[in-house]
Order: sequence, then structure tokens, then C-alpha cells
Amino acid sequence: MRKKIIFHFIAGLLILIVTPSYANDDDLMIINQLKKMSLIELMDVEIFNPSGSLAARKVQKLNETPAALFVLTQEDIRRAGITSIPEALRMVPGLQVARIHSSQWAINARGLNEQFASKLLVMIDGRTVYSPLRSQVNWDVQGTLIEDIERIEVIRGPGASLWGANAVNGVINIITKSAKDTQGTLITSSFGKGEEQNILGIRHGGKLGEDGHYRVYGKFYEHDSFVNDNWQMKRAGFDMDWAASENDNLSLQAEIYDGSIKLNTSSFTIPAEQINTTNIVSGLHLLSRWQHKMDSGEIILQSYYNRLKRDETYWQSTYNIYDVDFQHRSELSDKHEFLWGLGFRYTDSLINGSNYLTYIPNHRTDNLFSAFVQSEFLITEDLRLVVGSKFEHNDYTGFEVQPTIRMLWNINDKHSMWAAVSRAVRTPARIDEDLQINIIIPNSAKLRILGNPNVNSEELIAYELGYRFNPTKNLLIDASLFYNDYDQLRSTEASFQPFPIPTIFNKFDNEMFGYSYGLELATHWQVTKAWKLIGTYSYLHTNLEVTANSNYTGFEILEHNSPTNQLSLRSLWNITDNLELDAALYYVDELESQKVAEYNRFDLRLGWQANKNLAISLGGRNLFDSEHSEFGGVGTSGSEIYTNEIPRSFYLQLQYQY
Amino acid sequence: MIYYFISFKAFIRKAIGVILLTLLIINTSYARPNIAREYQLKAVFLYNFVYFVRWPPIAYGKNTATFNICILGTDPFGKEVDMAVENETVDKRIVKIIRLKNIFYAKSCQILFVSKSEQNNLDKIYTYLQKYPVLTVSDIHNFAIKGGMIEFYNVGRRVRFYIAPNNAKAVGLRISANLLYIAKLVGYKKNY
Repeated sequence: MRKKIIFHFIAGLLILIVTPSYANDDDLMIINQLKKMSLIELMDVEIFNPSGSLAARKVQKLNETPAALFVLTQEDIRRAGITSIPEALRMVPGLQVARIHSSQWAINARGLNEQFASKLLVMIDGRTVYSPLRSQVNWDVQGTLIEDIERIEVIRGPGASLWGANAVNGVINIITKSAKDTQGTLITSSFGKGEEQNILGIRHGGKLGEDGHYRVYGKFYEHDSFVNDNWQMKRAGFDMDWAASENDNLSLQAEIYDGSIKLNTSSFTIPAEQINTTNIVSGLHLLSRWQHKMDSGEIILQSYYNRLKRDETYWQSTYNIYDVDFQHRSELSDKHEFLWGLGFRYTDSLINGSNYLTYIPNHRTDNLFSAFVQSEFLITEDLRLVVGSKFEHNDYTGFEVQPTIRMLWNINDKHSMWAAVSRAVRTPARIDEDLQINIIIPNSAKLRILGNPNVNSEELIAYELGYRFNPTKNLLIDASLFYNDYDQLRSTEASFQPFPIPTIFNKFDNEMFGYSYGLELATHWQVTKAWKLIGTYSYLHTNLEVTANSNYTGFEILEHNSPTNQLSLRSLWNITDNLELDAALYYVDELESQKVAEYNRFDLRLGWQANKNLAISLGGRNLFDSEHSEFGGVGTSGSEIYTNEIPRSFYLQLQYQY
Repeated sequence: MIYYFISFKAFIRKAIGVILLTLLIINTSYARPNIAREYQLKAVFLYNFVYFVRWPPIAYGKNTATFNICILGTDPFGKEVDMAVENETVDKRIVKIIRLKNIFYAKSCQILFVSKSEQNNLDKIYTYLQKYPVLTVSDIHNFAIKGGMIEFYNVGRRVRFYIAPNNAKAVGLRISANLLYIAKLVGYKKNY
């Protein structure tokens, strides 16, 4: 540790000495560059609109989006000193983010949070990272060069009409910068105590001929141990964009990674014991996208291959996903925009279990066919109507229809309102049908947990209402209300069989139902030119029940697994042109089921743009208390979850760019 | 199906090695990123039009000191447009940015940018400006063909413009052929 610190320090000093210093005013620089160009050259300059959002499968402005959208920009991430994707999500209202280990999180939108939350769909550059094995997001393997993330778009509420199954409680789109925006060389390095211990990232971007750009990158990430745990990831990748013609754009990206994850987990025995294991993970993905612009619309054809291999204590799993997605957007008239698409996904998975846990069959291939249509009508100048639906056929439950109807009313310059009703489902994954767990209990009947081939999709009908208030250019207030009506949620039903061997069976079923409602508020306030405040508040109430013939008790745990109240306040202050002081305060209510007390978290960061090339930031997290627990205790299946307290942490980040 | 790689770690190590090597070999010179925010670019365009349009002497009236670029309605540029004209002069006149709420102050402008917020007042704006040599620019859809002069539109991520030369001519403005050449002309022939 000590040696590493010294190394970083010396490297930092060297960089400081070598580079000349410049004034920092990007906007003025860009304007001055543009002014030197001729008209013809100006016509070749590309524009980007940072406020645009892709969450709707097209570029759209926030105040034209009839959904509970919150966008985290690169600036938000950078100024929070965040180095991993899950941690960035804390800044989003309506999301529950609870850290379990250095590498494990429980994350969901609008409640029903648990360690392997199943109702949040996450995509990185259009590629799903939702696991087809366990219905969860493997947060521990996600991450690219954090500096190359352009923005993270989070929609609370169903996004299934466009994105398909499992976009039940929310959809997260992580969008990386185009290769064109990452030219030059970047070296980032971070070291700290408590959380991330060591990060080294290198990226280089350049031109490929006249119209092409590329970047290649490599990253090493090592997390500090909370207690007996660790998280180490290595990754390398590239991204290529090529403007084949004025209207055609081709991109190709790939990444390869591996890592080792050490954590505390529970054994498959009763009583459960804490065991310390090391999981080895590796994976890769390759994605290509062709984008063709037409007079009044565009075509996007995208295909990718995604592979993840995990070697864990009780099982080894590998899955390969091949996905093709086509979409066509056309403006049929000034008042009607039509969007439709087709998709196919082939998933091939292999799970090799152990005496305690197996999947039967161990190898399986699944096909997913999908289509979607969406029409957006401009009824009057100020009134938009969106109707659409996804139609899917999967190998578990057959056809699924997931429609939505949305309305947006721009009352005037300052006020707008939207409302939506949508249906979304969480389709079963391999765990729901194929899982077989054997637990041996001394001096008692055997316990078996079984998948169920007849299991149904979990259903949600969501009612949403939103309101945006833009009283001045510097203030935006965004509020949303929701009522989620759930049916056929997953339960486990216990039964006893005395012969031939006394066994208690716990079989998956769909006997849980219930509702939740809540309120989310987000405020962006540019107080002065140099000072910005961002506040969020979330309120959530969940009520779950089981049908009369069910004996499942996990609903009580799930019901109180998410905080009722959450608050955050972030302050971004530019003290001078090259000095930033940022603070963030998070309040999270107690989690009754997890026996987690309410906590406050306070982060502070000082950023210094030493010169044009070098940025240094120094920060601390959880400054108010030495450690606190965010999740932990009991899983919904009644099993123990071993968690660690999240300690106070400090970091120093260096970013060198030329 | 291949279920594992032959030593994944070795592969990663090699991959990182290759990347590092490429970094050393690749020529580190590259062009400046050709990218800007939409209204940064439009602000510079707006300023550039000054050099391609000739105003009749009466355009300046008694005011000979400044060249006024006005923005009518909600300002989409922010400080970008002020930066673009900072310390610039046209024929010894200092270029000034003026933000207007009402079209009736527009007669002292040489260039008037009509913001999207004025979409519903276009008729009033066209009628009023028939009398004054003001170059009207906007990114409102169909602005040029309906009575304006220059209309920005986007093709993909690039900015293009329509010009209605007849509308400019009618108030005594002369637009240079070089500017007309790179624009799409509207209202010129009967069916554009």
C-alpha cells in the first residue's frame, strides 16, 4: 500500500513539473476556434446537445419526455468523485442503492429492493447487462472508463413498451461518449483508503482516415477491503465510429475483462454459516451499430455478442447472448412520428452446479423474439400523445404484451405535466424454472428449493403522473407520483413430503401481489454562475400480500426492504475558474427488514484543474461517521445475507490529458 | 460452443500489452475535435452572416456607432453569442448583442434572431419587418418560406440553412452569392 502511494505521488509530481499552465475556458476556446473557420468548414462542424436524452430510443429533450427521467451527466459523476456505476446511481431520486460488499449492491427503482433485485433493466450503449440466468444485474462486472461515460439516463417506472421485459420498475441507459469526443490521450489514476484503493486507466483516441475515429482503453480497478472482501477488475476495449457518408454512421465496440471478487456469503447449510469465497469472473462483448439518417427519420441496426463466465463457490455459469435489434423512426407528418422495431435474442447458458445447487437441465438455449410499435401524436401544439407496445415471445411464458399510453401537456413555458399508464412484466429466468437446491439439516428433514416450469411472469400495471416547473432559466423542479399495482409476484411455496425421505419442498410460484406508491422530487438550481444546487427527495410506501392458499412469508421482508424517505442535496461550487468545491449529503431512512438504521452520508471533494492537462481532486466520503451499514440481515428466501459496514473513505484522483 | 478461453488472464495481459504498445507507436498528432454545442455553432454562424450581407445606408439610421445583433424572445444562446462578438467590429461599428422582448424595438437591429418562443407571433413579426432592412434569422420550422430570410435546420448533427433571397431583396438587403451558394434557396422559384 505504502509503496503504491509513493509511486502515485511521485508520478503526480512529475506530471506537475513537466506541463505548462494555461487558462481554462473551454467555451471561449471553442467559440474562438469556430470563428477562425470558413462558412464551409462551419457546415462540417457537428453539434451535440447535452440535454438530449436517448431513453426513448431517440434523441429527446427532458421537457418533451412523458416519463420520470433523470439524467446524470459526466459532470455530475466527476464532481461527485464517483468511480463505479452503482455508486453514481445514489444521486438519482427514486432509486434505492444499498451497498452490501465492496463489489455487491442491492439496487432497484421504486422499491422491492433486494440483493438480486430483478425488476430493473440496465443497458450500456444499447447492450443489456441484465442476467438471463438469475434475473439480476451483475453490478460487479459492469464498468468502463468512468471518464468515458457521457451520461446515465434513468427512467423510473416501466420502460417495457420500448425495451421489453424486465424493464418493470425502471430502466437505466448508460451511454458512453462517441470516439470523436474522446480524442487524445487520457491517463487517470486514483488511490484511496476505504473504498477504491487503486485505479489506473489509460485511453487513447485518434482518427481513422477522414471520417473515422477510435479509442482504445485499458483499466485496472482494485477495491479496498471492507472486512475480508475485495474486488479487482481488469478490462480493455475499443470503440470505433465511422461516418461512412453524411447520413450513415457505423460503430463498433468491444471490451474484454476479468476479475476476482472476494466476499462473505452464506453456506448452504442450516444453520447457515458465513463462508469467505473468491469468485472469478470474466467476459467480453462485441457490438456493432449502423445508423442511417433519412429525410424524416432514421434506421438503426444493432447487433451484439455478450459473454459472461462466473466461477463461484457452488456453481460455475457461462452465458452467451447474441442479439439483433432493428428500429425505424419516421416522421409521417408534422404531427405524427412513428417508431417500430424488431429484435431477436439467442441466449445460450451453461450452469455446472454442485451437490448443493444444480440447474436442470444444466445447458439451455433460449430464443426471444420481439417487436415494438410506438406512435407519437402532436394533438395540438402543446399536447403530445404517445401510444405503443412491445410484443415478445419467450421460451418460458410464451407471448407477452407490454403496452403504454402517455400524454404530455406543455401548459406554457414554465409548466408541463405528463401522465402514463403502462404494463410491464418480469419474465422468468433460468433460476425460476431450473433451480434445484439441496440443503441438509442435521436431525431433520431435507430441505429442497425447486424451480417451477409452470411459473408465470410477474406483472405490473403502473399509473404515473409527472409535473415539471421551470420558473426561471436557472431553476427546474421535477416531480413524479406513481402507483404500482403488482400481481403474480414470485413466492416460494413450502410443502412437506414424508416418504421416501422426509423432505420439505420450497417451490417457486406466483402467489404474492400488492401495490406501492410514492413521490419523487428533483430540483436543479443554478444559484449563481458558479454555484449549483441539486436536491432530491423520494417517498415510498409498499404493501405486499400473498394469496389465501400461500404459505410464503418473504413478502413481509420485501415489503420493508426499501427506505420510506430518502433525501439528497448536492452542492457544486466553482470557487475560481480552476478550483471546485463540491459537497453531497444523503439521508436514507431505516430498512426495517434488514435491521439497518437510518443513516446520513456526507461527501466532500476539492477539485483543482492545475493546468490545461492535469486535474487533481481530493475527497472524502461518509465523513460524518466512521462506518454504517446499508443493507444486510435477511434475504427474501429467509437466508442470511452477510454484509459489511461501509467505512469512511478518502481518495486522491489524478487525471492527465493531452 | 466454446465455454472457456485458454487462460483468460494471459489474454487480458496480452491485450493490455498490445494497447500500450499501440499507444507508443501511434502518431500522437490529431485534428481538433470538430464538435460544438448547437447554439455555440449557431452563434458563430450568426456573426459570420455579417460578412456576406450588405445593408443599405438607411439601415443604420442615426445610430452609426454600433452594429446590432438582436435576439427576440427566449434567448437560446446564453453567453455564447456575447463571446462570439466580443471586441468585434463591422465597418468600425462595434458589434452589440441586444435582447428584445417585443418586435417593436427591432427596427434598430441589423440582424434579428427570432427565438423558437416566438413561433406564434410570426405573422406580426413578418408584417412589422416588411418596412425595415433587418436580416431575419431563425430556427423555427418554415421560417424562411413564410416570410423570413435565413432559417437554420439540422441535417443529422450538422447545421444547414435555407435562404429566401427575395424576402431579403424586398427590404434592400443584398446577400452575397457565396452565401447563397452554400444554402438551400426557398421562395425563389414557385415550388422550391
